[in-house]
Amino acid sequence: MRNSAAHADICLILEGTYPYAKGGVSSWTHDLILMQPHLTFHVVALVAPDADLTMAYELPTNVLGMTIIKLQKLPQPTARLSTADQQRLLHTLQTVLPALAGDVNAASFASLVQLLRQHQTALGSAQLLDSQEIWELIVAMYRQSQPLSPFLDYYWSWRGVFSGLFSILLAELPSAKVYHAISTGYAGLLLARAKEKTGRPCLITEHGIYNNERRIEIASAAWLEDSRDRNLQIAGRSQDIKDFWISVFESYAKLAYSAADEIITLFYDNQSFQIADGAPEEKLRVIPNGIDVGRYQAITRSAEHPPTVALIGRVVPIKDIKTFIKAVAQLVQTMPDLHALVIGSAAEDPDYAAECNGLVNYYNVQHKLTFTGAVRLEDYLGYIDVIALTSISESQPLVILEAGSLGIPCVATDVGSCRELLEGRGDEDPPLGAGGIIVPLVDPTATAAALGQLLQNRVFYKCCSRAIRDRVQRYYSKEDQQRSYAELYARHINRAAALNPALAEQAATASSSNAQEHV
Amino acid sequence: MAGVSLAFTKIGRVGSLSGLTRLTLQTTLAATGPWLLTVLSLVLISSIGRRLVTPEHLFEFRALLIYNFAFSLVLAAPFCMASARFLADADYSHETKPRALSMLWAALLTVWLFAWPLALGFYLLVTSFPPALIFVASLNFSLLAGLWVVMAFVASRNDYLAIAKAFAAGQVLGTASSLLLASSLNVLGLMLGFTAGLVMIFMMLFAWILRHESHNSRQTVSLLVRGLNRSRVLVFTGLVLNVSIWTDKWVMWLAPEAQKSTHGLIVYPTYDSAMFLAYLAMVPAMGLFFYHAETGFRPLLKRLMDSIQNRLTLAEIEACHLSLTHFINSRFRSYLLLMGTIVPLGFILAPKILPMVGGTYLQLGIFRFGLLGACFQVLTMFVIIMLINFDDQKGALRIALLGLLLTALLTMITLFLGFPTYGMGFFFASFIAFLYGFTYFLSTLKRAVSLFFIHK
Repeated sequence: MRNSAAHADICLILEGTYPYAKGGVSSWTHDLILMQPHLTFHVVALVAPDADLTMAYELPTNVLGMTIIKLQKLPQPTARLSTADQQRLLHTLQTVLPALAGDVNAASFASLVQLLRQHQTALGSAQLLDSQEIWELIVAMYRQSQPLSPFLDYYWSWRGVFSGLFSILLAELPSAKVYHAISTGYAGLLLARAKEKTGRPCLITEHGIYNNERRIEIASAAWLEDSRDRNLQIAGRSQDIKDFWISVFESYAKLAYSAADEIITLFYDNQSFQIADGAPEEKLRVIPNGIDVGRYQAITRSAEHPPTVALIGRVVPIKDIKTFIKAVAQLVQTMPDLHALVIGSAAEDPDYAAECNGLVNYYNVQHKLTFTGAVRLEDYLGYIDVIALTSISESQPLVILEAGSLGIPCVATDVGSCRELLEGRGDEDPPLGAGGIIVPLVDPTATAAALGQLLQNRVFYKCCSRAIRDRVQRYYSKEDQQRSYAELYARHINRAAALNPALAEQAATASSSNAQEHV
Repeated sequence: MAGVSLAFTKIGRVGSLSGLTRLTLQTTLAATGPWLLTVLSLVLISSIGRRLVTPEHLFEFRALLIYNFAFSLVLAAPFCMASARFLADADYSHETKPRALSMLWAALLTVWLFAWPLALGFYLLVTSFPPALIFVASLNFSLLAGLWVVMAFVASRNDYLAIAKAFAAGQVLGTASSLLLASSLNVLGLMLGFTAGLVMIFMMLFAWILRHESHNSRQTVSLLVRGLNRSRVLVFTGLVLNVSIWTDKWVMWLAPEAQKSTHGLIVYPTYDSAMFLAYLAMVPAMGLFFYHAETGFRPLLKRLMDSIQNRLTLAEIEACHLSLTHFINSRFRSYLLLMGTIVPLGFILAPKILPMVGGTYLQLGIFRFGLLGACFQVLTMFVIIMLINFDDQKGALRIALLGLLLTALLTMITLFLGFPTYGMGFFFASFIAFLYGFTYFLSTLKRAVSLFFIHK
């Protein structure tokens, strides 16, 4: 792990991803750093307290340092807090914490950030989580907001939520010219703290909408279910623990959006969610993910092969592999020579993978459908006619772009930016037409019908193939993405320099030495 | 196994005044039976034995037993605490693997590993007893140490009646055989007879355990080490508590009035017996406490803990907390009332009681201070036991340590101030420790719900 006292140009704030976990956001971040060799970066990795810290990526040379913040883990205080300061802290917490679970106020959050910064060395679990005064605060908040919820659940939720907050507010904040959070949530919270402390430009890039993902996670959290019979006390159900969790994350997002100078996402549909969560419309911007079109276009398409459909993705429930298997089972009834592939690792969720294998056997399509495991996609793309994406949730799936660059159309569910990728944005000029078919979620019949339509109607197939290839070339090249971020960073680094002339000098020196290094 | 709790509950249904008297008597006998029976046995051996052996022989016999009881209790305390905690945890987590017997074996073997060399070494180096007596005294010491461990085990299973029965049978045998062997073997005979009684108690309790516990674990010593390590604060509290009960006596053995036996054991019978007698007056309150602990305090505490575990609302949890608080407050008032009756009675009747049990007027002051001191020490012990039940081990240890240090310090001061103040140090130490402990406990009780949540 590197650590440097030097100011980086960009401080990237990531939650639960790069450089410790593989996946879409991690590989995007790694590429982003590599694509901006003239800039220096500092990576702040927010991780779970018991996270496995094995590096999944080797940090590029332009990463000057890395800071790890263990969420919910508070430092050991080295100084003592005076009684007066303790009272002041408590008073601030009494104002800010209920607001975070309700209608958050940026000014009161700023006062909390300042107070915690002022007494950083004197604060730890004993002062912020385990004191009698904090207990009384928890009880007061519980009584005010949800006196009919199980207290045990409320207490642990409170600790979980706010220990995360305190760990963020007490952690070391590296110095940088621009702060860039790759999600809202705790990463966004650190961004809000950075804004409050430094006043420097702050950016957010959201791939999926963090709050939506949390909402799904919280809604399906069995441990938060209150199964007790409440004799139909409707009044008591007005707010429960799940609402508490969700409203706190909504507050964190509001604070992050308020601190950010620009809020970027991958596709336009996401913006409506961001606006609903409090993002000011004028700050919103879209920078789509791009791919190396040339690399994929070099792949030779095979003319002689059976009709082949493929689902490219990990064998995990969120990809809904089972719907694909059922669709294949229906399709082989009309296309007996069909060949289907599931291209992706099955190691992440062995139970689900076993269930999928069981389903393949149940429909007796084991000779028609192959699980390849993790392989080089380039080795397969030449033989695939149509790709299917049955996911329950996506942001901007790169596989549509990678296959699309070769003119392979796609059947996808209406999630994330799939519709935008396949049907084009409203402002597409001239309109390129459909690059595939959008189908409802968890609908094997519709998926099979759409795949059949593409495989059997050659004219339609050719239209879709041309449309998706042209769209990828026009809007989704890696060069465009690189240029957009280079321009974005340059503009904000200049703003930072204007705010603080000392940074301007540093920026000039650092950027010339980096440029020399990369020549 | 009916358990003391069920038995007590049945007894407690009797509502009349005669029922209440019987209840106090029965609970006292069940909970403090072993102690009462041991005292009774010693009184019988002393009064009948006077005709069979010389006063010096009796003096040495009593001195040997005082040493063995005092130091075996201190030695066994950590192991008793560790195994009691282990059993409580296993019960609470509904552990199905029968490892309790392994824990008992480990504790017993470890206690004996220390007991034998300690006793042999002490009696060989400090006294000039003949080898046969040293052997029997060491055997007696080791048996006593093992007995505390076994007794703690059975008590943790709530079968106080089994303990009382074993002691009754063992003490009958011990008393009879002591008296039978006394005339021919003198001190050795008394010790042999008394030890035979202990063997019987030990065997009966051990048989009870074998009847009620199954054994299929190979871990023994590792279980004990883990148990000692996991509850080290509790283990230390147990040690401190037992030491503090004896501290004033040990300090007073340094008094110029203390006596040295022919073979080198120092005791101060005037002080010791007055204090034992004072403790005896506390037996009804102790019995009542054990009764309340089993039938009210623990069930209410469990209800409170269950209300948290079962995810009730705070209002429901607080209702359980209120019931527990009311119960403790009302029961403490009854202990104070009971002691407030016994202590003045003891004060007034002391000149009559002391000669009846072979005491002298010299012991009047010590006995009266002893009554006050024992009263507050016993109340402090109740507070410590309740704090341990709230899992506030550090709080319990602080109170126990304060009691120990104050007892040692203030008793030493009275040693310098002279005979008229003997016992006063013990009284003031117990009083101050109780004031601190009770205040601390009231604040703990008020914050009881939060204590189950806040990480210390």
